[in-house]
Amino acid sequence: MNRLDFLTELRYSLEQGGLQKSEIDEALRYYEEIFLDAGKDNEEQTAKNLGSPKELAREILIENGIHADGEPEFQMEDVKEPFENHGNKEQNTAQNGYQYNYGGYNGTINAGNSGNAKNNLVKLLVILLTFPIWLPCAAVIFAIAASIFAVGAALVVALAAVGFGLTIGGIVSIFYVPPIGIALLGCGLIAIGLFGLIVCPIAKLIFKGAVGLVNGIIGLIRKIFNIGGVRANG
Amino acid sequence: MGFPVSAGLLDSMVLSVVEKEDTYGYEITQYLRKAVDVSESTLYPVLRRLQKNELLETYDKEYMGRNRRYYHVTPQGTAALKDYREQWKVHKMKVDSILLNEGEDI
Repeated sequence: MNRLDFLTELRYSLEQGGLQKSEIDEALRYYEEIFLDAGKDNEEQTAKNLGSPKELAREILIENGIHADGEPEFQMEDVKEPFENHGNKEQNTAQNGYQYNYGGYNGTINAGNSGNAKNNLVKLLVILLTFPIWLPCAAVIFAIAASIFAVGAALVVALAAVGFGLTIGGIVSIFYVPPIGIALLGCGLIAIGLFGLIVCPIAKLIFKGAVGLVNGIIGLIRKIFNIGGVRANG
Repeated sequence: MGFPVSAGLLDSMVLSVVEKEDTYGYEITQYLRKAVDVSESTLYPVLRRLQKNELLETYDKEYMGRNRRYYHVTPQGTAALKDYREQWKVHKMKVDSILLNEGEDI
């Protein structure tokens, strides 16, 4: 086993044992220096003298109050996570680790739910408190959208009125001055045709837009308040 | 080596080696090997313990393009070493009196 293999395995075993990072770095620093001072050509011999990195890690863990007895690897796996959750890696035995595991598990679920509720409350508060900012914005956007819609609608209605007016006028004029009546009738029919061409897609668009808007608002509310998330957690 | 080295003895020997001259992990082990059978891995917890108890402190010194960690005895360390030496003299005398039949009384 060369220096790199040895140090890698040592680091891995120490991490598995849940040793705090500063202690791991300290140990790695020491053993790396031992290898370097012993000489590049003696790496295999140095590793042999030091023994198994796993055993070495076990001793260091014990020195730091982490007792990994029995089935070290299995227990260390279990110990690792609660340590990470709680950020408390000091002076804990494997048995404490198990207790932490239990507590950590329950704690995570509780914290998750209460955290969510708390979060929602905060979000609601933020939304309510910032209404002087977003209310005028929303009002302005609504007003602009409404006026564009009104202008569009007026133009379309005017087109329809012109169309019908010209058509009726054309039909009436046909009996007095046929060429003018035909021309008026033609223009009227063109206007009505244009009206139809414009209104049909717009009607469809408005319908789609309304559905999309409702869905969008529902989705936004869900997203802000994590309604879907709570259901998944529960 | 027929006689196991106790933690206290190892602590005091390391302090004594470092007190002579600031030195680094590998050299401390090599030096101690003259007297007792220790390995680098035996020494790591000893050095760490002495550091945590503030009997030893460390500093980095450049050597061949890398930093080498040197150990230095603190004033507390010097005091502790003095105490260890006194204890050792008494201990040695007592053991010698039995093992080597030296001295008349204990």
